Amino acid sequence: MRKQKHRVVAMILAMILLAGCGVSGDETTAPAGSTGEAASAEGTGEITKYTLAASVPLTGNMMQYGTSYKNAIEMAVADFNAAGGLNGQDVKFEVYDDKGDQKEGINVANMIISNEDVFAVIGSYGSSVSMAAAPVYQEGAVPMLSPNTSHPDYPGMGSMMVPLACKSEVIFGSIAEMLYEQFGACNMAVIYQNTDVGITTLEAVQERFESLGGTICAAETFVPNQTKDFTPLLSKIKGTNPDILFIVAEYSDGASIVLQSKQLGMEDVQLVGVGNVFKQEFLDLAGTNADGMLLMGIARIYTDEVMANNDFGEYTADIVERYNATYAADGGVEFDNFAALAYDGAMLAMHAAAEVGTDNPEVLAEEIRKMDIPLCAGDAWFDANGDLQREVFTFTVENGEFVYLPEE
Amino acid sequence: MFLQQLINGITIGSTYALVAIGYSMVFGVLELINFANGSVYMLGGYLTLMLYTGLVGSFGLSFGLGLLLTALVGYTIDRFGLRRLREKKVPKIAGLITTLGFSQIIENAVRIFFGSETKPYPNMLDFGQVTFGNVTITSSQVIILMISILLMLLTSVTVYRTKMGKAMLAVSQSQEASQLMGINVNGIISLTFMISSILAAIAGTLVGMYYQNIDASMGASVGMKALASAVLGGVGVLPGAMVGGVLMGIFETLGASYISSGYRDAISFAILIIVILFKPSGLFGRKQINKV
Repeated sequence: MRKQKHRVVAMILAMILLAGCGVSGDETTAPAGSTGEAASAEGTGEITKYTLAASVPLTGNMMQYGTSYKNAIEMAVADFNAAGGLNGQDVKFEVYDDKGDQKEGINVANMIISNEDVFAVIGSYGSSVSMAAAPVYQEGAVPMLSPNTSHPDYPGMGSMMVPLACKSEVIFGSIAEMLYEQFGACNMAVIYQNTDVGITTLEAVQERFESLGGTICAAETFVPNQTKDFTPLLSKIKGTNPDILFIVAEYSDGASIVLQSKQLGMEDVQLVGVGNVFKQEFLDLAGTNADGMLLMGIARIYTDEVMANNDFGEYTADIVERYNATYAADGGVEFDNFAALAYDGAMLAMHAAAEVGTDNPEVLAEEIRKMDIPLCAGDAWFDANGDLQREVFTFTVENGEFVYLPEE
Repeated sequence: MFLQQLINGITIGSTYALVAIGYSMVFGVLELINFANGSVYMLGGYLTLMLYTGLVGSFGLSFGLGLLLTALVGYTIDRFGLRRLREKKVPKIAGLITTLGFSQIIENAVRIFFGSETKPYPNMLDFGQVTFGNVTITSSQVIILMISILLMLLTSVTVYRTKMGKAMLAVSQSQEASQLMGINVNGIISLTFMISSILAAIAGTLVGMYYQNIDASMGASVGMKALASAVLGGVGVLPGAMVGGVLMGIFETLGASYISSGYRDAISFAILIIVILFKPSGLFGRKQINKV
């Protein structure tokens, strides 16, 4: 008897609810269930999803990068929830291991889009994996914020793709120009990893440097994380008498190249490194052999020494300090640019969700692209062509330490 | 530049040769390719480094301890993996899979205990460099080459001139007959694994010092190249493995410098395939081999 009564009450309630929805849908054009947030024209502003997902390598060769991502996103989510979350409700964070592998990246993407509660995803490490998974996220309408996917084709893969790293041609074009301004029309040799990002980097640097009047005297390639012996490539490069050796490599390969170039007696060649070697581990491996090397990129270095001597702004300094206290305390990897980009990515996604709601992914992705919150990784903006731009930072190495060279 | 490239190639080739000897010896006695050999090479380098930086502080002592531990791992692979399979007369393919399993265990154990990031390695062989015209030779290259040649001679003498070596050769011809003649077959097989592990560990340490860094995945590609070197020279023939290793290093270096750096591995493997097409038993191979 009692059970039946409950059922009747429940049914009546349900009918009222349904009717209510129907009425508001029929009679008004105003967004249903508006929570008082500023809703844009297309979006309803309703927050229905509360999970931020991440597809990062937590095992395998690339796990140290994935771990930086994971830690930073975790911290961003905690910070965001501490500040009130999405309308008072906490954002959940779910991290998936894609092993830095294209096939796994696609598997993980399918798992993420099948989770109804996910409003955005951060990932993955590297252009290859991100671009393999991108069509799945586009199909599943989940905005994908990719911290360091700089391949030129990535942003064009769909409206859901939000890069946080510049296209290679944008960034390396300006780096080539800065080198030309500093060293004039000289011979430059390029040694690059045989990956999407390596090849596009070479093309961008070559095009700009040669159009300005410089010469690319050699371009040699290698398989990242497998090639240990760079002496054949470096001997060949040495034979072309370069003034600059431009190194496009991950930090471990980059360090090997620096060491082996010194062993081959290439003392008077100006070494230039980019993006991915901005890590303390690079210096641990290369030591004072990297002295005098120029490091140019959109990434800054956040070691204690650099942080103490340079002002990166209070917002960034606070994040770095708290991150290191939490994750680097007992032997973990310290805050780096991967962490900075991942932190910004997570914050962008969550702030945009709070602003325009999560029910319309197109509107959400558009809001993320406005980038109107403070960023800890340095200025970033989308230009008139829809390309992401970032400020370029130049560092050098002195006595085995990174030194920031601010622009005059 | 040709001379410089040749020296680069011979240096790296001589370390391939040390690992290739291990493949060849194990194949000789068991007719089985020990896929764990590449991982043992990496492990040897790691153990020396970890003992040096973490516990001992003296490079010589940690190097010795590292070799001892690596030999123990080689023994373990045979004693607790392969011997059981031999006793049960399981098809050889199971042994092959077992060695693949061991290689995964070793590689991932190193990642778990020591982390996956590339680690700096002290170069104990650095006493400067000499430059003749365009050619720069470092002391590391000279020492690596000398140690490799010395070890190759030592291994050859052991195998072809001592009683122990004769026992190995006997086991490689027929295990049953050797047992009947009073040879401790299991003991000889264990010994073979230990020697091949020690050689691989020395190569791993030398390469770690040469490049001044080491990482957990370094065994995989060297393992493949050393295996190819062994096949090139003729599996089961020691001088073949040595020459094969050095040739592999030279092919790779010259291929990278004169043809295309992007295809360096492809070039060395293509040469391997061509040699095998015309001389299936390898450059020095004599008998027909039934590969597993």
